[in-house]
Amino acid sequence: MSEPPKDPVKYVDSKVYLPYDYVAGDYKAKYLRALKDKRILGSKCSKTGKVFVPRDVKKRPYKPAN
Amino acid sequence: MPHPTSEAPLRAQQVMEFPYKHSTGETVGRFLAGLKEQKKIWGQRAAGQGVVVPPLGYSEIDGSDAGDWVEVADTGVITACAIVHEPIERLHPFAEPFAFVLVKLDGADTALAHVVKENLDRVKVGARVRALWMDDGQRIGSIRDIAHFQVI
Repeated sequence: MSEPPKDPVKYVDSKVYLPYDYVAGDYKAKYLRALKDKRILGSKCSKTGKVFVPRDVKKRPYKPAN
Repeated sequence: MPHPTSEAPLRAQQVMEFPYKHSTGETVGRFLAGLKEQKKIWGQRAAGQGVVVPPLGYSEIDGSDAGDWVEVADTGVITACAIVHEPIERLHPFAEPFAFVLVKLDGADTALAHVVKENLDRVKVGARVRALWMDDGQRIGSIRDIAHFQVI
């Protein structure tokens, strides 16, 4: 045989593998730890009184609540 | 309201995966088919380069189309090496220490990137190596149809 097969391999299976170390921020950590104790925490907006669940990040105009 | 920084950071080990099919193209596709079906390593003549393995389909010197297919040996010489003493899981092909090598196969004028798994103390530029093939029925049309190279 003086040449490779006429019919080429069409593709090679591959996989991008991205392991990473996820770090929960302060508020998410607090929320997740509370879940462990079967408690669901929300975050109450100090201006409107709206409660966000799971939690809201500390972004104006919102401030964290208990 | 105190900022809740008294909480220790909460961590989780996560993995993101993207499976995909890498399209080989005509030239590399036939090269891989040669590994799988013929257990042969093929190169191509290209202007100014001699026999190129693995083949690209064109000359890297002047961009002209590659010429005839040429079978090369599954033995050759190491032209560069890097020993991986502490492989990273899933990133590297083996869990045990191994070496990345460039192998200029006998009959070829360019080098093929591959791995050596054994006798790492003998992995040096100039060392001769031989391909260890995957068995019939286990070759899938991948560069890893050559399992690894062995120092001879």
